[in-house]
Amino acid sequence: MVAVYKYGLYAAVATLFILIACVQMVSDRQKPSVPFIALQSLPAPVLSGAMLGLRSAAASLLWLQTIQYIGGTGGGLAGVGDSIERVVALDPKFSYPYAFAVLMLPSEGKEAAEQAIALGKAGIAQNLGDWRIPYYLAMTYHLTLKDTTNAALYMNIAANTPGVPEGIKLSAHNYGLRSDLREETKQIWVAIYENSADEVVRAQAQNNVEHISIMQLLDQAIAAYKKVQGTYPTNLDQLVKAGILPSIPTDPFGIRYGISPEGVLTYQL
Amino acid sequence: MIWRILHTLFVIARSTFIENLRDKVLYGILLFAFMFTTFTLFLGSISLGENTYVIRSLGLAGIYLFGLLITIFLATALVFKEIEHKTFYFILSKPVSRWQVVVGKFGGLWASVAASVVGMLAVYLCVVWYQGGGFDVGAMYAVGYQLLELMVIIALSIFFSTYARPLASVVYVVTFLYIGHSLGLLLGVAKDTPVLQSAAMGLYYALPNLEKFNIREVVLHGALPPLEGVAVVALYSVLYAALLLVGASLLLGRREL
Repeated sequence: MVAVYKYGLYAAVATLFILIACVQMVSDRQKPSVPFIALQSLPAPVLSGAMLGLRSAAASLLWLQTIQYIGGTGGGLAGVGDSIERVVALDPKFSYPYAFAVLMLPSEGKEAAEQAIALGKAGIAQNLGDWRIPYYLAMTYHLTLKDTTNAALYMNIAANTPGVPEGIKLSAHNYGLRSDLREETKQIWVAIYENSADEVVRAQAQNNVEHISIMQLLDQAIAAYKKVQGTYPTNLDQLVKAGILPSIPTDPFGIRYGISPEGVLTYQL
Repeated sequence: MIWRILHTLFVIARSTFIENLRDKVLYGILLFAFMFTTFTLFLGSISLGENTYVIRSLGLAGIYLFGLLITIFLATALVFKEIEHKTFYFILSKPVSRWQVVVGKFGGLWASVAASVVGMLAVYLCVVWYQGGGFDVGAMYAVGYQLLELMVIIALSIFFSTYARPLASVVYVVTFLYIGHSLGLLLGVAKDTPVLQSAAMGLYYALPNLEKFNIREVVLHGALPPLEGVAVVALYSVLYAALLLVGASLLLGRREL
């Protein structure tokens, strides 16, 4: 009788666990398809007080929340700049969020690019000795704002930061010396890909390298077509029909390419 | 005379220490602390390459919060329990004065909390080392400062424990914890109004300023506090704890048992 009672309890525990798992599954299915984690938070000094002065721990948690938010929205960056501002307000010496903001935010538009630059400059002012902040800042000036003077300035800061990897140093030193801007940009992304341990940044860099490689390939193919046919092709299919390309490569950003009457590669999202 | 007093204090401290080590709840909290410190390895792995920063910041926060939990749990009932269970009569029937009980219990409790915190620190150091962060010297300083802070909190808890029930003591201590960590904020808020500024300044110097003991952000970024700074903070801690223990002895002395 005692044994039956004991095993009955075991069975009850197992049954309850199974029921809990079932309810959990049902609950998960009812969740919205895109989990949205609000990035709203208390101001940094209040949050610091609420966390009993554990500012760096609060910064870590807010940083993890920011990453979860980006992952949850499939790479969406809306509001991420504000969240990163809160992270660095809690711990101004936490260097990576500055670098992350400078690298990722400019793709969100001019306002986000300005916020990224402000964050990058604040990070450099903290004298954190992190080459990524000036290097990514130079990239933003170069790629988004087409400001080669500031780009060269921050490339120089990156190249002279102690502990900068050799590849980055070389790329930074070479900045502005080459005439081919596209190749130069590709080199910057290759250097980032090779030197970043961050999967999101590496994926972004890899996509950019692939994107530029496709543009370079298409430029070469258009030039080859002109050489053989005497005129520029009017669309990309002609490159395939002429046997110059086996197929049209797919752009990682989903960009569709065209050709202008002057033989210049054009593209739209 | 002095030796006899010291011997009495040591005996009370030792019995408090042993009593606390027998408390099963202490081990429950410690188990959760160890689990949390190990869990930071996972949190570090999802931080986009900032593993060491996340593990160290959350690990030190964990040591602090669990240390606080142990302190508050054990300290707020310390004297009240003795009075409630009438064991205080047994102690006072010996040639022991009330202040000696207060100070002895303070010493024993601080020793048991320190042992728990050092245990958590050992786990933390292993986790950081495993993650490739090397031997975290800064954490030793941060935890040393934390032990000084806990000295003040234990004294504060004992002070409240002499006249309030444990639950009320917990509420008072937690309130003081928040105030103690927000005194700088209070000064900042009051700086534009002269009257408020004077009041805030008074509170700033009268209440325990617990932010003095917070050097986690400093050590996290590789800096270490200067030795003279350590001495000043240690002196502040000892003086404030002494003030509270004297207050607790006075309150206990006035209490009819």
